[in-house]
Amino acid sequence: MSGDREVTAGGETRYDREVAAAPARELDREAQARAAAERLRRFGGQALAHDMIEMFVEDTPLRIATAREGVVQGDAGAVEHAAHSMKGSCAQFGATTMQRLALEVEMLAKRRDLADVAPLLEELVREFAAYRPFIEPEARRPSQS
Amino acid sequence: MKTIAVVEDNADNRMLLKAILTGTYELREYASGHHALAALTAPDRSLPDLVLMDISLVGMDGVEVLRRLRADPRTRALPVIALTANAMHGDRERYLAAGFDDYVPKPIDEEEQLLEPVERLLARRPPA
Repeated sequence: MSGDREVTAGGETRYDREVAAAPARELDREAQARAAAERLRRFGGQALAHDMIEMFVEDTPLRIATAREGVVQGDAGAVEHAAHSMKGSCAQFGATTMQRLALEVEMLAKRRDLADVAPLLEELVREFAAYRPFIEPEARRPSQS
Repeated sequence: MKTIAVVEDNADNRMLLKAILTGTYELREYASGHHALAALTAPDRSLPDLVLMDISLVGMDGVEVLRRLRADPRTRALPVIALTANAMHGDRERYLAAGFDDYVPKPIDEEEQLLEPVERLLARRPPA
């Protein structure tokens, strides 16, 4: 089922709502990415921010791929593990929307309920694509402090 | 240098904890509850001075690892701090009641949130 075709009582689709909310979300993403990187710099300077952000950017698509493969294979444990890792790292990098999606996937997989996982993984792919342009440059930004 | 065991299944979180603690403490890192328990209860290995334990580990979770450490006379008095994401009201009481010595909610925003309980517990006189 495509979530884009859900129509609310007001006649607007989920797509309309997402478009309406988009500018605010972009600002949010930028602020969240910057705050997350600043936090990492406080602990270990730009070197830590660089290493952790690079790891996040490399690992996230692999984790999503692992979860997808788990859905195909009916391996709820693999889905749970991938979602759990993703949830933890998204929290670290200010990717709050991804964190929420990963938590939903983890909860479903824990209940061995994989039927609704695939659309959530697609949302994760889209949200990662939207967040990446904000977080990735922080890996190369000189330290502000 | 005092030794801290870090039990955390997320590599990012381990990297962050390492950035905060390295230099001041010697770290031993474990990526699962099973690995940590096997190492901490091995009779031929020295014990760390303190354990930082993530609660929501896949497989054996932090509360279960702690329960087993408390059941073993050799590791019963080991200071163990719970680390948990998605902190909820009442967590501190819940984890202290479960037998943890202290509790640190994640994400850690300031080093002090972690260092204060670590230093306090390490300074505590070991039970006779």
